[in-house]
Amino acid sequence: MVRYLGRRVLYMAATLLAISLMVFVIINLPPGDYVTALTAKYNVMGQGLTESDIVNLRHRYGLDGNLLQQYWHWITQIVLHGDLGMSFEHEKPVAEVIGPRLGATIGVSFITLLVTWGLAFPIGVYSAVKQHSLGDYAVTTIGFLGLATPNFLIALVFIYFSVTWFGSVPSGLCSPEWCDAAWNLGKLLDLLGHLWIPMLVIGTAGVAGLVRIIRNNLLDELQRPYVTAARARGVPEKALLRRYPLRVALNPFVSTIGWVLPLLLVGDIVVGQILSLPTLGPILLGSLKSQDMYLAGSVIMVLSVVTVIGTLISDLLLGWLDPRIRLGHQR
Amino acid sequence: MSTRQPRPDLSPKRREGGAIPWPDPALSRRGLVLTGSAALTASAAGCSWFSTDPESGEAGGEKGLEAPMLAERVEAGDLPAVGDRLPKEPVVIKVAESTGRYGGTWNTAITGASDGPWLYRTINYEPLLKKNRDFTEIELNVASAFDINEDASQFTITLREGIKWSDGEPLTTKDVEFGFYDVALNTDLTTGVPAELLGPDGAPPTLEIVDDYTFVVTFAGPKPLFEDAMAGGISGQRFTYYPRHYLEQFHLDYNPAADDEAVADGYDGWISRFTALGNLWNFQWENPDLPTMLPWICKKPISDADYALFERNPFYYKVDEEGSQLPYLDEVRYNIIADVETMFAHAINGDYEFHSRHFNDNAHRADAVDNEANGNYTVTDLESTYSSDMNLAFNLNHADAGLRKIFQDKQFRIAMSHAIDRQELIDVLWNRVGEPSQAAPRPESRFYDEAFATQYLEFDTDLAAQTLEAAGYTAGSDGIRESADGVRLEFTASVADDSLLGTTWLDALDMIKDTWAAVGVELHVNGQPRENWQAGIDENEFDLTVWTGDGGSIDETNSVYWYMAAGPSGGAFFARQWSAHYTLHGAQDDEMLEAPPAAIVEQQDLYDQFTSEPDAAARDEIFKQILTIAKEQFWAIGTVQGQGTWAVVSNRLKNVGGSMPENPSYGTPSPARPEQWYLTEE
Repeated sequence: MVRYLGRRVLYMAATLLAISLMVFVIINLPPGDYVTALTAKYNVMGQGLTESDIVNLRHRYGLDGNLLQQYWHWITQIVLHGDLGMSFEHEKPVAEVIGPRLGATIGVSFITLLVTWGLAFPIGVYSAVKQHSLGDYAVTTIGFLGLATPNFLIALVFIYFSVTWFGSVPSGLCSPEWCDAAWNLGKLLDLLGHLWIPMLVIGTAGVAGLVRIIRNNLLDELQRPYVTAARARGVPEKALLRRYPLRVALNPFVSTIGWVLPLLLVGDIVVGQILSLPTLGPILLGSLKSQDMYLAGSVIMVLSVVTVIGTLISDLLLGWLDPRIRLGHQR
Repeated sequence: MSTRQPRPDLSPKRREGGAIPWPDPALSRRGLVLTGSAALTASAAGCSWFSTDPESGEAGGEKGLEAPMLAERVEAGDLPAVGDRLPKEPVVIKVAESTGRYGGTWNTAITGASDGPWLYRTINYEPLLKKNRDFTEIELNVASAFDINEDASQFTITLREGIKWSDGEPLTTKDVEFGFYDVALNTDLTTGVPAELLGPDGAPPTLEIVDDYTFVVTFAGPKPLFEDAMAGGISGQRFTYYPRHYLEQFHLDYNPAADDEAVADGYDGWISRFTALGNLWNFQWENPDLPTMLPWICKKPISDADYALFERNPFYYKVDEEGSQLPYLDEVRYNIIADVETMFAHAINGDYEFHSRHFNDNAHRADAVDNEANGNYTVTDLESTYSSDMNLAFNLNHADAGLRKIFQDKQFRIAMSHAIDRQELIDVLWNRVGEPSQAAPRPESRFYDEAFATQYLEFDTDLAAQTLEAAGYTAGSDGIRESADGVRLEFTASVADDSLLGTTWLDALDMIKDTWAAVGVELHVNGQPRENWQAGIDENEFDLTVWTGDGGSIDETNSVYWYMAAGPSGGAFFARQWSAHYTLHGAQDDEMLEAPPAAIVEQQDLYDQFTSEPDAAARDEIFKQILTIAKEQFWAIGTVQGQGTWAVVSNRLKNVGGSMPENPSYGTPSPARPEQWYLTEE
């Protein structure tokens, strides 16, 4: 177990290091840097900058070395001091910019994950057990639509209907009059009133994918001879389903945390922008546009860490759930 | 609406006592009683877990000399009486329509922390002087006197006596000294001296402190535009934006430990901490502790995700004609909406009391008007100040010598102008509302010159082809012309695709591409994000580009960059290097490919004269000479003067006063004095 865990953690560290390097290089690919944007801003203020001013600024922001030096500076600060650097655009330590939004991001993603599971599991089981029924076809169709429609489009459609039918725009996580109010039933209802849209929008693709997985796995199992044998011996249909094929079909379900979590976090980037959620998505988009590289890099790194940890948890859960995996290495 | 000096009937006795001239005890007592009972009711209202009511109630509407929410704090002993909070001679604001009532929230939106201009235009606009709503006259604001000597080189400025920062500390010349020496002239904090503080010799002025309220600014020579600059939203706050008593602790010159403290706080040095906590243009809205002179002060900064909240400044120095302290509105709330379409959905739902940015373009106008009744708002037109909504600039400083020669050929530019079908652009892309125009002052400008605005406008491909032929551009085998040097007339237009006009520019260039092809010129259109576009322009890597025709009216003499190689934001798009040569006094001349021609130099010499001429009429004459050269040289090509942008104004919001110009120098809507806007009950 310890060796298993140790190996996974080692992989994790290596993955994160590779991600950090990729992220840093890609962020710096577009022409110009933050000082370019800043120069334009200074110009608007009526302050002409000379070449030497610009060199000074580049030096101040640490943009004067080559890319590798900048990367080295950034990654060593993170690893040795836990210092994510300064956000150029916000003129604040990155940790202060990300901090307040991280909770909301993880919260929304986690709740969405639960909802995704809650919806996908019964639907998947139903459509496998009642294969080729009307209900199966209906959920399959809806599932494919959910998979195929981009998140941001669903969000815009929701906004449109919300405005035309209910006369309110469901952006943010609270209504103006409730944001400051103390917690009570009304505020909770208000929060739920806002939360269901991002939950549904971000969750649809995940639900659709999971339903397909559950359905296919269960169908594979249901045709196994042991199921037929059990049925022949008179095991009640429901108990049979619950005790044997479902447990086997559950494996891929658990391992999906690894890929559903990044899907939800990425979904949040675009949907968060459109629905103005107080999450990391809008910050990431803004920082990429202005080449605020330490902020952008740090947001991506934080999301990567969350994802990698999610994968680790799913691996551990899988080991706990399935003795074949847990004991596989001992052979 | 104009600011007026206080009534002359102030008796000396009253001054001695430090009292103010208006307290009407009956009135204020009534106000107190009313607010007191309002507070009682509020506290009696339940706040249990099972309540489904938000606890924030609308403030009562009975008008006293101060807002009920402040009267409550005075009652509780947290705040001095209103008379002690106001300066001796408060600015008296004439209301636009009717005397208002206290209370209410102005809801508006912002895309995020980087969206500074909307904050600047709405609440961050308290310069020494301030222009009136028509932008024709300069009035006193933070300053109570502004005297100019004969040759406009020396300015004696007096601050309003008893004027206070939002924390109650007095604003004095000590703060002016700090803002001038320790911020504006501190090269660590301010990279490059601000233009308004540069004298004719290229050096900053001297500052002489006379007493607690009076200071003298002396330039080496005439600087007549200094008065105008002191009425500008940003430039006019240089002296009175830095509360010394608060900011000294972050400044290395005053606190030797500032650097270490900043690093301990997570900043990378004292400079970034000082900038983050209190520097102009940067993030005063991120720091609720920063004392300001503004009508509303920060309660909740923007980076806190959902919204930013600004609440009335209890020490604000303006009153209405009845002597009631402004602002009328309790709060300004900036909802943080990153996506413009979502923001627009809020707007047509009536969620904003006033908004005139982000979505107010042609594409959204029809939907906004359709929903007026639904959202209980009115779409108010703003007056455009652009010479044209899309001016074209060929790069006269192009790195390629062959292309440079073509772009510098006036006959080529004339031909290109004739090969644009402006009427078709208007019909297809400008909702059939608009006038063809060159990059010249607008009809309402005092610099309007019909010949300049209308030259080479007619669409005539035959004429264009003849002009090109006569200038020696002959068609090659594939129909594309070549110059005498054998350079093909094939160019790429660099366009910022997230422009203020939506996708209009890209669509317009696609249409121009066809008509140019008809005369043997091949155009490619390269739309890019604004940041990438800016990088390309700064690196001088573009053939031609388009931008709004700033300087059409109101700011003709500041935003000169369509008329000559000078001006803000790096200068003229048609000649970045020649602009830099002038604005940076030759600092970047090593990179310059070609010395500026006589016409450019002549314009720049004239502009030097313009900036140092004390007489306003003579100044205008000099500027007209600059425009005459621009007309002859035909540096840039204009297209369509379209309908201006618009604002959504809630039907509950009063005193906005109707249409106003939309312009960055004007700072729409600040000259309409949002401090005297108010909300009716329903």
